[in-house]
Amino acid sequence: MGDPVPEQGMISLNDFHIAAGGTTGTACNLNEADIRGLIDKASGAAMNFAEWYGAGASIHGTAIVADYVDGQYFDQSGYASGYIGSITDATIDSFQNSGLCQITQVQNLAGTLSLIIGVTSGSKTFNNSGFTTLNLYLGQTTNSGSPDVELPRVDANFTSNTNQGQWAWDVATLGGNTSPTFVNGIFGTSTTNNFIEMV
Amino acid sequence: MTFTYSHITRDGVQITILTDTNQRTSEVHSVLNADDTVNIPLSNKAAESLYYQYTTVQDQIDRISLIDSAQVKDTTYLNGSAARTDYAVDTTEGQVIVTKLNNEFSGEVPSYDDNSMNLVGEYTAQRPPYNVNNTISFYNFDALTDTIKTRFGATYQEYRKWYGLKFDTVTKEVLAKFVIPDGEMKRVDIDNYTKINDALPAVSYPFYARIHDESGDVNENVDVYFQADPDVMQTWCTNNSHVFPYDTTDTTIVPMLFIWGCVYNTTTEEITHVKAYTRTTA
Repeated sequence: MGDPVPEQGMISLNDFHIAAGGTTGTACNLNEADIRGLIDKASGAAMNFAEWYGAGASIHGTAIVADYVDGQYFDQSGYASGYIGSITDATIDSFQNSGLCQITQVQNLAGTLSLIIGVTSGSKTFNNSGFTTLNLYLGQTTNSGSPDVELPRVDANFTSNTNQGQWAWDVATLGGNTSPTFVNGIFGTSTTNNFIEMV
Repeated sequence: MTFTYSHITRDGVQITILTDTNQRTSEVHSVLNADDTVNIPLSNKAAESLYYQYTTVQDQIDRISLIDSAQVKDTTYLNGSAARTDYAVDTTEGQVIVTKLNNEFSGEVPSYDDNSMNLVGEYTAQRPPYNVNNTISFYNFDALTDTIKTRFGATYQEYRKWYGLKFDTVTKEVLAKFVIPDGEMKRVDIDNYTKINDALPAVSYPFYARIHDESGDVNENVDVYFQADPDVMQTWCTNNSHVFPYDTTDTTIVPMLFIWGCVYNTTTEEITHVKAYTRTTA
């Protein structure tokens, strides 16, 4: 992901392209998946330039302490509310038209990395939208530099359960996976500090 | 639970969407045939696996996490009732079996109880390849040694973190059970791997075990282990004439389930036994 589209003032298709990770000045169009994906539009949908203001900016970022569990049957690595690790700022200010969403899990369990978002109160039906990429910055507590692992939402399997949305990536296909064995950990095989960011 | 399925293309990606009667959904990338058409049965099964992964399967995963591994009592259900029990080596029951191992099979491994996660069980076998003699099983969570691999002719590229030794208390014969990841089974025997996967219902986190004798021969019976929804398993057993492993009127069993297993005979190409495992403390 490149710089986000400016929050105000004059904006251009080139700004959108850069925000989507494209190269400035190269050919593109509004209906390209990554560009309309910045504002969660389906192919061919009506779009207004004003909808791109601020697009590509971080939706939510937080440090997490990822624990590692050398389990009898499964290894676990990451943060899972009430089980392992901790999170600095679980609450997402605005997500899928709600101010009551919180991250409850970013965890690699048995080779599947899951991002689970629930609600702090009330009820909500989640859908497969709301962010473009989950970025993982390993071994650091901010989003400085480039992410170590970029997980496009479109590559994830998605489940909408009772008051929960779950995105799941197959770890074996991800970057940053250095272990060839089933027992591997995106976050490592010890307690580590990391930063996660939804953009 | 009744599901409906839809198969769509979004952003150039073919997606299968499962929706239940409560409007809960699961979306997976569709499984494609060689001609890029959607393989509907496999795609629907993948969506079902994901659906259960965050519900009843998660309950089984949590069961493993919640029980102190040093106090484990695992019960295996087979043919409708409890067939055997394994204990962590530090439990009272486990120590009794460890003493027998030390007396009758000393030197097979450096120690039977140096790792509190190790499990032992004593039982009379109810299925091939184990014969009818009294058998002691030992599941070792210490790293698999080259000595064991060489002795039983195991040359896998990947192993899970535990393996088993089966001691026949009468003949003194020893068998080794090597536990390998899903991908390793696919690598070493893709034909049977495919047949087993085709035969199973929607399951999660599968892995395999192959039994070697001291000649290095691999037994025709292969174990596959996985997490799965109990209702799915019951329906599948009924539809395929498999004996369901436990008494479904005993409502105490499902909350304690943590894993399932099937025995697949690679000669007859059929699943011969379905097993369910519960975990409690000794």
